[in-house]
This record gives sequence, structure tokens and C-alpha cells, in this order.
Amino acid sequence: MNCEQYQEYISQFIDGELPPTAEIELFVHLGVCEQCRTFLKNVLSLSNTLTLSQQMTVPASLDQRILNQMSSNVKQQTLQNLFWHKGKTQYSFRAIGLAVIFSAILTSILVSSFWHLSYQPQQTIVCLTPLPEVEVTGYVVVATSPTKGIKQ
Amino acid sequence: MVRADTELIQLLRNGDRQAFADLYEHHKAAIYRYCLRMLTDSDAAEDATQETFIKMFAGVKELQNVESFLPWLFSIGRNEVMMQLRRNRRNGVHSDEDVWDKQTPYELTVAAETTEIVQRLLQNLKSEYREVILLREYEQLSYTQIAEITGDTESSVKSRLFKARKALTKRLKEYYT
Repeated sequence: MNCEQYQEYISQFIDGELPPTAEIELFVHLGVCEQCRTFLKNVLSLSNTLTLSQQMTVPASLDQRILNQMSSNVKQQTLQNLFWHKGKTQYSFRAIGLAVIFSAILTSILVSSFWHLSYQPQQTIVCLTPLPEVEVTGYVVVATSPTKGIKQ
Repeated sequence: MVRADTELIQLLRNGDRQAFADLYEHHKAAIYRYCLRMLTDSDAAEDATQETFIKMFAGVKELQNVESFLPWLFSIGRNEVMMQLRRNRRNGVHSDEDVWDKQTPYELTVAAETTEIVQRLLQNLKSEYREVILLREYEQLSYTQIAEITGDTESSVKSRLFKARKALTKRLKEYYT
């Protein structure tokens, strides 16, 4: 192995990703190679410098932006979830349930409207005075009398 | 009490809005830091962070392995960053062999602090090298996680990290000598 390959080992070693067998090999090489020792020192120093500059605060405006956007998204999604599930063609059970309930209500309203329109209760005519006897000749003869009954 | 991500994800999937706020609180700094250091523009970084969390919210129900939440979240952030970078670089041509994005960082001549110099050198790295440094050094992600985020192999991650470190240490050494 050459120094380039050992330096790649060094990079993995500082990340804790070098296998133990390779670690031993690396340490043996470091004992005899100043160039690779310098590389190790420089990479560790770079890593420390990067860690020092890690501090970074998230702007408060971003928090507000995201949380506001999420509130509006949640409202939209809640509405969408009522009617859609995953794909555009697949109804959710909730949507089907709502549709069934809605249809049942609509049907009952329609049926009751028709029933009210078509149902005419039989009217009872109460005659206080006897109707005159009527005699009709022809195909249909109807004569009524409250007292004498029907006469054909 | 700090709830684990796995628990928060389950709560979020059941429609718990507070779980989203908690997940955002846990990861906002890492995502924003990554976006800002990749894009080097605070407005663009804010936009990318916002999009990342909105897409996380929209897609959390589809996440197969809850344990992979962090790499998954970073990969959403990375897509946002890459989209922005592609937009910015539409006219740029770069050599694949080269680690540096900008060959002569003028800002170095006026930079005083080592941390600032390193930051500026980092900004001048090509995005594929910069991102592995950011994910490893700042976010302490494993090679496996970085590979998951970037869609590369672990050996490619190892190699890029090594090349980026070597280039950075070499440039730093040149600056000081």
C-alpha cells in the first residue's frame, strides 16, 4: 500500500469507519511515515475548525413561515382527506360512508315529497239533506240516496 | 420529555399536529445548516428548508422504514438544494476530475479567522464534495446514511470525503505558508 491509500484510511479512521484490522495496519504505517502523520494532524485540525464553526441559528422568520404554511396545509389536507384517499381514483371509506349517508337522506326527502304529493286522503261528504233521486239511462247508471241506497 | 422520532412519526401519521412541530424543532437546525452551507444564500436556504419540511409532512405516510427518517429527510433537503444549484449553474461547465468549484477564491485574501477561511474554502468546493463534508463533519452521519441520502455507494462516499479533506487541508496549508 502507498501513502495515498493510508491517507484514505486516515479519513475513515477519524470518522470511526475504519475496520479494526485496517486500524492496526494504519498505526504501524503512521509509526514510520511523517507525511501521513502530518496528514492526520491536518485532517483532525480541519475537523476541529469545522466543529467550531458549527453554531448556526435558524431565523425566527423561518419558524413562523413553516408553521403558518403547515397550518394552512393541515386545513387543506383535512378537507382533502374527507373525500380522497391516496390516489385520485381511490375513494376513502370515509368518503364512501359520507356518500351513502348523503344518498340516504336525499332519497328519504324525495320519497316523502312524492308521498305527500300523491297522497290525498278520501274525503267524506256528509249530506245533511237527502240527495234527489237521479235516474240515468245508458251504459252507466248511478243513483245515490243517503236513505235508500244505490238504485240501478 | 423529548419524544423519539419514531414515536413522533407515528403520531404525525395519525394527524397529530404537535408531532410535526416537535419533528421540525428536532431537525430544523441540521436541515437549515445543510441548505445554507450548500446554497450559501440565506433566502434560498430558508426556501429549501421550508420545502423540505412541507414535503416531509406530505410524504411521511409513505415512508417505509421509520428508522431511516433522518436520511430520508436529508434526501428531501438535498433534492431541494440540487434543484436550486442546477438552476444557478445552468450555464456553468465543470470538470469531473476537479474538486474545486471556484479556482481562485478571492475572499481568502481578506479572510482573517481560520474558521472563516475554512468556511469559504468549503463554499468553493464542488457541491458533491461539499455535501459529504457537511453531512459527516456537521451532522455526524455515518457513511451508510450519507450514501442513502446522496444515492451513492459507501465506497464513493469514502472516496469523496477523502478527496475533499485532502483538497481542503492542502489549500489551508498553502494559505498559511
